[in-house]
Amino acid sequence: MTDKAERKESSGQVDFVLIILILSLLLFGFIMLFSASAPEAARNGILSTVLKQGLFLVGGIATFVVAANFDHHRYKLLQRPMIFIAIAVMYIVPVWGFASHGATRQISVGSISFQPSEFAKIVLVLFFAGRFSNKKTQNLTTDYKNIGICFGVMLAFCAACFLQSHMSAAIVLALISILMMLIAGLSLPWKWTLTGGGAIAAIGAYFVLTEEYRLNRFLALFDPFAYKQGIGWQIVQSLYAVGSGGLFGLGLGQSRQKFNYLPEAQNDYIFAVVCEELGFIGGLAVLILFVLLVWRGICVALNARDKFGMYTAFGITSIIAMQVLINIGVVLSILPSTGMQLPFFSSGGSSMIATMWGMGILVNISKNSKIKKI
Amino acid sequence: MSARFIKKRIKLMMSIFLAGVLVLVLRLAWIQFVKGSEYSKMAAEQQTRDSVISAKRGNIYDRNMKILAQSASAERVTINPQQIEKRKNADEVTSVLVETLGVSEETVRKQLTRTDRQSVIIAKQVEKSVADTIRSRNVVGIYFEEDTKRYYPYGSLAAQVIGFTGSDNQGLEGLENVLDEQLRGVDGRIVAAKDVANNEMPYKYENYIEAQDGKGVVLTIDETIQRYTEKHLQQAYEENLLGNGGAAIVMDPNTGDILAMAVVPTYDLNEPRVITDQLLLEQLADLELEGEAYQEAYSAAVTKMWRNKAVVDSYEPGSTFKTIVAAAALEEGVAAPYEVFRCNGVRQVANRSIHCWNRSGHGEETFEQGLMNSCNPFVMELAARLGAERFERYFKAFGLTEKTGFTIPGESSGTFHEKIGVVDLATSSFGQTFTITPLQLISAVSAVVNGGNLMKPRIIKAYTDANGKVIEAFEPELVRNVISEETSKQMRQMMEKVVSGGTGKGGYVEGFRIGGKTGTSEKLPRGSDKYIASFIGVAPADNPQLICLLLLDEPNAGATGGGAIAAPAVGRIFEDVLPYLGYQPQYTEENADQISVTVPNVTGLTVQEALVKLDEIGLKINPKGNGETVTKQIPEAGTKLHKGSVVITYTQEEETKETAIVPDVIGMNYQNAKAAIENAGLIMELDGANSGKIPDDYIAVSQSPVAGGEVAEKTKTYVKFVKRETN
Repeated sequence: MTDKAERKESSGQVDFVLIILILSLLLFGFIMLFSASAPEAARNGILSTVLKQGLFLVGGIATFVVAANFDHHRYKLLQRPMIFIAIAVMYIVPVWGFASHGATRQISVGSISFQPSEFAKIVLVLFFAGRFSNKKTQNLTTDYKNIGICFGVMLAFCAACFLQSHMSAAIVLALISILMMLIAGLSLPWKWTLTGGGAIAAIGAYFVLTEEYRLNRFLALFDPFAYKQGIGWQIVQSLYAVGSGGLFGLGLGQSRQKFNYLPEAQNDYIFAVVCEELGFIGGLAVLILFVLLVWRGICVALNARDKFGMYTAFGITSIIAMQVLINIGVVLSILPSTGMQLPFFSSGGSSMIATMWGMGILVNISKNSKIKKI
Repeated sequence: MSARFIKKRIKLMMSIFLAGVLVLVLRLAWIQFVKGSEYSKMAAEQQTRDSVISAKRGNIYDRNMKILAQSASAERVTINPQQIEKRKNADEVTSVLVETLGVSEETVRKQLTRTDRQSVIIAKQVEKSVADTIRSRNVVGIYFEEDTKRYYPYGSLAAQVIGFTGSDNQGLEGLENVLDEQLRGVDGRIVAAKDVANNEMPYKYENYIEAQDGKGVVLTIDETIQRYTEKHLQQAYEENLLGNGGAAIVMDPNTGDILAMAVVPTYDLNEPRVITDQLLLEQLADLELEGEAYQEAYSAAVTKMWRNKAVVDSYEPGSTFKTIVAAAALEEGVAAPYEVFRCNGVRQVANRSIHCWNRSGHGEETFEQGLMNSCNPFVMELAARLGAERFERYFKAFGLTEKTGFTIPGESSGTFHEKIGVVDLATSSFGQTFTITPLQLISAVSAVVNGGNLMKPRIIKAYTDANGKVIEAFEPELVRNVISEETSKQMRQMMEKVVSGGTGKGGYVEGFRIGGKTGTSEKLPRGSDKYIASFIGVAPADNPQLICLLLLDEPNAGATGGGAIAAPAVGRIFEDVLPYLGYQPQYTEENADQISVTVPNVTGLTVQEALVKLDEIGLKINPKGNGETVTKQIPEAGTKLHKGSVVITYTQEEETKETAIVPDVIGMNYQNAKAAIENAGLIMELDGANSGKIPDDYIAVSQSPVAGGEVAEKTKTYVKFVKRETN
C-alpha cells in the first residue's frame, strides 16, 4: 500500500490477516444465521435450515481452500470458455429455472439449486481483469471497439438478469463492469458519458415505472409507515428491529422481529437481526470487519505482482464492498429494497460458495503479492 | 494504463467505499439512538398481545351475609381482523359467530373490516358453555378473554337499592353505580409476546399483572325483612291499583340502619330492561300506543321503575308530619299533653278559613286526642304557638331541609320556603306547602321516637375483601339531638294511641304494641283527586326497634286514606317482621280469648285424646256420634280459630247441620256485618282494636276466622272496623 511496502519482495506467503478476517466473518455470519433462522428451524426442522447452511459452510471452505491453492493466472487461459459458459447459463436460467420470490433466478440440477448470477460476478471480474491486463485490449480511451465489446459483455449479463427479474444482480454486474473499466482508464467524451448515463437512467426509470412493485418500493422508501401494511412492511419491520437494538441490543438470540415480522430474517434482512440482538456495537462490528476485509483486499490489489492480479483483487473486493453497501443500505432504509444478500451472513449456498471462491482467489493473489506479511 | 494510475483510482474507490460506510454508520446511529425508543416502542406494540383480566366485582351482601349480588366467570369473544384478512377465513368466522352468539352477520362483517386492529370485541359476558362451543370449532382468528357477569340470586329483591351493571360490568343503577369504584376493583393484564401470526413467542416475555378483586359490600338490609316488606307493599300495590307506584322503608330508628327499602312496581335485576309487572303492563296497554310510541313509553316506564322512589321522589308528607309539629310543641313547652284544645272544623288564619278534614269538627279534645284524630286546627294551633321562627328551626333540626347523605344516587332534599307567613305556617303544620323525601321523613320520625336523636340513615354496614371477610366496618352516625327523651317518650305513648284508638287503627297488630301516624296528601294540583296514602309505624311502641314508612301513590280502587290502605299494610309487615326479630305477641287479660290458634289434626285419635289435645291449646270439643275414633273434624286442621272456639268431631260419617260457613263481611258496616254473621249462625265479636259503639262510617277491614271456612255453629267471629276515610 505504501511505497515502502511496494519495495518488499514477495514472500510467497498467504496474507494471514486476510484469512483471519475471512474466518472471523464466516464464524460471525454463521452464528447470526443460526440465530436468525431459529424460528424457521423451529417450524421446518433443524435439518432444512441450519444443517443445510452448515453443509454450505463446509462447501464454501472447501472451495476456498481449493481456490486459494489454484494459481489465479490460470484463469487467464480459462476466461474465454468461462465467459461463454457463464453467458449461456445466465440465459438458460429464465427458461429452465423455477419460480422463486416472484422472479426466476435459480437453476436446479437434481435437488440442488443454484444461482448462476453469483458466479457470473466473479467470471465477469476475471474476464475484465484478463482483458485489461492484455496489452491488446487494455485501451479504454481511444479503442472504441474494445470499449464497445466491454459494454456489450456487460449488457449481455445485465439483460440476462433482467430476464431473471434479478435487479440486484444486474446492478452489481453493471457496477462491477463500470468500476473495473474506470480503474482501467475508461475515458469517454462528455457527450458519450451523458448519452450513456441518460440512456441507463431512462432504461432504469422505464423498468422502475413500468413494474408496479418496483415503483412502490421507491415510494415506500420515503414514507414507509404510510405503507406499513403493504409495500412498506419490510422497511418498517427492519427499522423496528434496528431501532429496538439500542447500544447493546436485546442479546444474542433475543430478536423478536425475526419471528416472521422481518421477511427473510435469515437472508436479506439478517443485518437487522444483528442490530436488534447485538445493538449498535454489533452492527458496527460487522461494518468494521467488512471495512477491514475490503481494506485488506485493496492492499492485495495494490501489491499484486501483475495487473491481472491487481484487477482481479480489486474486482473481487468490489463485489464484497458493493454488496455490503447495498444490503445494509436497504436494511437501514437508505436504498430501495432489492434483494441483495450480505456476504458471509445471508443464507444460501450459491452466495456462500461464490463468495468463498472469490476469497480463495484473493488469498491466492496475496501469496504472490509484495504485501507486507505479518 | 500505468500501474500508478490504476492504484490512484483504486484508492479513490476505497475512499468512496469508506464514505459509504460512514453514511451507513451515521444512519445506524440515527436509527438506534435517535429513533430507537420510538421504534422499539412501536415494535413492542406489535409484538405483544395485551389481554385484560377483569377484576372480579365484589359481592353485595345483606346484613346476615346472604349474597344479594355476585359475579361469575364468563368470557369475552374477540376476533383479530388482521389475521383473518391474511387467512381469508372471514366467511367461516362470520358463520360460526352468528350461529353461536346470535349476533347479526352485519355486526361481524363490520368488525372484520377494522383490519388496522389486532383485536376487536364481538361479544361480552358470554357463558362459558357457549365459549366452549366456539372454541371446539378451532377457527383461526377468534380469541377469548376472561370476563365476568353479574348475577342477582334474589331476582327483584331490593332492586332499586342494589341496581345493576352494564355489559362492561360497570355499575349503572343503585348501589352498583354509587359503589362502582369499591366494587369494581382493578383490572389486571397479561402482556405476552407474539409473532406475526399471533402465536406466542418462546420467550419469558410474559408480564402478568394480577387483577385486584373488588370489595364486597355488606348492606344494612335484611333479606327476610326486605322480602316481607316487598310482599306486603306489592299486595297493597295490587289491591289499590296504584297509578304511580309505591314505596316502603323499614329502618332501625336507633341506628338509622335501613332494614328494608322496597319500591313498586319493581323488576328483576337479572333482566333490568324487561317489565314483568302485570299492573304496569296493563297501564302501558291502556295507553293504546303502537310501534315507536309504545317503545318510547315502554322505555320511559322502565327508567321510572329503576328509580328509588323512597329516596329520589319528594312529596307533601301530609298528616304524618304532625308528629314533628307535636314533638316540637312539647319540646318547646308551648302545649302540654293534658291540655284541651277545641276543633270546630275550621280555623281562621289571616283572612283564610282552613278546614279540618272532619268538617263537623272534633269538638273538645286533649293534645293526645288531637293527634289521634289527626286534627288540623289542633296542629295549626301548635304551629301558631311555636311561631314561624321556631317552626323553621325544628324543621331544619329534624334534617328536613338537607339531604340525608344517603348512599343512593339522585337523593333529593325536597323544597321548603324559608320565612313563611302565617298561612303557610298553618298549612305546613299538617304537611302541605313543602315537600320532603320519604327517607327524610322516616329519619325525622325516628328522632321523634328514639329519644330525640337524628340518625344518619345508612345502608352500608361494612366493606369486605373478596372472601367476605370484613375489612372496614361503619358505625351508626348521630347527626344531632333534636328533642329530649321525655318528649320522645310522650310522643311514643301518643303515637301508640293513634294506632290503638285513633286514625291509625288499621295498623294494629294483635299482641304487639304499635305506634304510628297516618297521612293522606292530595297531590298537586288540588282537586285532581289523586292522593298519596301513607302510614308511618313504630314497633314496639314503648321501645321502638322498627320504624316503617309506607307510601301508596295514586290509589285507584276506592279507598285513598292512609289509615284505610297504608296502615294495614304496615301492620302486616310488622306482623311478619316482629316475630322474625324474636318478639312474641303479648296478650293482656282482656284480649286473651282473641288469640288465634291453629286447629290441630285430631282425626284418627280417640275422642278422649282429641279432647286433651284441643284443650291444651284452648279449644273446646263438641263430639258427635257414638264411635271411639274421630273420623272427621270441623273445622279442618290448619284453620285459625280464637281460643275458646269449638271444634266438632265425628266418629262416623254423618252430615250435620251444626256447622256454619263463615261469611265475607269485609267492607261492610257494623250493622250489615252483624246481620250477615248472625244469619250464618255465628256470633260477631269486636276485634280488640274496636271498643264501644262502632259509628256507621266504619267498615270491616279484617275478620277471623276468614270467610269461606266451615266452623261449628256459634263460633265467635271477630271483626275489626276502621273508619272509612281516615286522614
